[in-house]
Amino acid sequence: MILALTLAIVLGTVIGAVLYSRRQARAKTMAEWAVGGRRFGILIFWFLNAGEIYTTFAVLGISGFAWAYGAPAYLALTSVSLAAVIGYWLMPRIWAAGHKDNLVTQADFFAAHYRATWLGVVVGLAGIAALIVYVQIQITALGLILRLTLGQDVSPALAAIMAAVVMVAFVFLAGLRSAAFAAGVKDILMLVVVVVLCGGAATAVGASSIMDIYTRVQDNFPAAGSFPGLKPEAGLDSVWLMTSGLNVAIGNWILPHLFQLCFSAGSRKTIRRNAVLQPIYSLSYFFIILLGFAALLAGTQPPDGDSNAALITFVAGHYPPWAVGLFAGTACLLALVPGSVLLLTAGSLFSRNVLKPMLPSLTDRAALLASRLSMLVFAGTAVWLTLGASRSLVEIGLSAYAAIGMLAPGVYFAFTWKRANAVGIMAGIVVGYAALLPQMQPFWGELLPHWDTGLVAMIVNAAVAALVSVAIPSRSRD
Amino acid sequence: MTTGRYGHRWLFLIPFLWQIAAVPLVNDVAWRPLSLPFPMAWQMVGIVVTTIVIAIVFRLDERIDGDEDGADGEALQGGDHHA
Repeated sequence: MILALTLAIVLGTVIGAVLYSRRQARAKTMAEWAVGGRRFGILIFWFLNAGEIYTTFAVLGISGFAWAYGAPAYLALTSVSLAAVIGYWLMPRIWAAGHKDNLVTQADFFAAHYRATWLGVVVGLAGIAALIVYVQIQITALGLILRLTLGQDVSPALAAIMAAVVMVAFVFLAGLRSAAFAAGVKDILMLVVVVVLCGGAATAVGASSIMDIYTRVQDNFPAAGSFPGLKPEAGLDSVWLMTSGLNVAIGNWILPHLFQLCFSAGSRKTIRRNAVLQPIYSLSYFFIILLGFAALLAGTQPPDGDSNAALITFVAGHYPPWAVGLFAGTACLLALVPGSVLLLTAGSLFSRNVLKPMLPSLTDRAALLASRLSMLVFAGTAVWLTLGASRSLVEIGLSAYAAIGMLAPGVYFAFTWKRANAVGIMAGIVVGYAALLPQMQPFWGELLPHWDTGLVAMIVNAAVAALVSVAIPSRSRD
Repeated sequence: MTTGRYGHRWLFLIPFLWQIAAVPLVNDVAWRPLSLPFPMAWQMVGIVVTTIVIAIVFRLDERIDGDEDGADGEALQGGDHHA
């Protein structure tokens, strides 16, 4: 029953997506395939955007964080709406730059704005690295769902490999257009799942109502509701929330796939209106945190104490099989939709900004092929990262944001400060990555306790970029 | 740099003050509005406040920029310094 329902949801979405994309003009060139032809209206654009927000990071990661730590799960409430404020200001600028120079990728933007192809290569590689870390989140979650539906005797390694195969198959069946369709299906199903799970949550834990779950959590676990949460030794206090929330908000649009998404918007007005609607989505994290707290009240003990599996274990133990199947199928889409967008972006970054500058004679067909083949390698790398890793999805997500934050100064300076130049931006990136090295962590921990390392490294990066840009002015900038 | 026409974008400071700067101030409030932990309720109201702020700025911006669908007007002047 659970397996059948899961398969029905995933296969139904894939078939629907293929039919939907057939009806559209067939994408042939690299640009069309990667950016969806620059003709997205507000509805598809909004769904695609929301698809990025409602990831496994949010649903499995945040509920797991609520189960394990309590208050630190509020990160989702803080970061998403602040990202919308920044997006309102930033996205139209990225969009305008994309239209002016006919850009396809984020690395294109760096190469064009700073007039340095080599910087485009560096940015392309940095973007791919961050995207692979982000794919790792989706593979981890998809692996957990596969083990739920197929049984725990499937090893985590095998589950991760199967997850990657499913994800790659999903990408290859069609490009960005079908991701928009699948995102729509996923959002509707997610709504149903939330209603079903929250509707049954109070009964499952013996509470009288949804709000009673919140009351009971605070009564039984007095530390859960406020910072530093259930495990003060983890250092997830107010300072952690403030710095992580800010870093995620600043880094959000720098993620290559979201940056690239700006190019595909139909107009500036579309982007701005979308930013108005976006924070409202994040209110529904209320339900995700609720489910995490319900799992806590129910005394859920996921295998190996893995917080990522807290919600899955809770659902499997307290809900009827049809609800478990619905949840599992939707959770698969939750990983597959963003996962396919992430892989597509990494593939186009690779062929266009890493390969093409080295092999200028590459034809469009060859570039498309290279792009598709490279995705296999990236999915494989993500599987490799997943093996033996036991970190929370939220922690993996914060690492991805720390990595991509290294490209943030180059983007923000491009729109605010004319003197910033390629050499300065490169110097900032190098020093910023050095600041993220594990060897530096004790130093930062002592200097700025509980600060999000990503934010610290981003500040260092920006300062170095500014200093070097002033010290070594570029030769000829209009 | 700011021409004054986009001065209303200073409103964008409100979400950051509410959802980030105020975090330590509201952390120890014991009151549970609608049974919710206060710091959580604070963030949720913050989301509503942020939405309202963006909506106000959007309306004022559209009044200035009209329906012209080209590049952001102010972007050509070097940008403002908010956000």
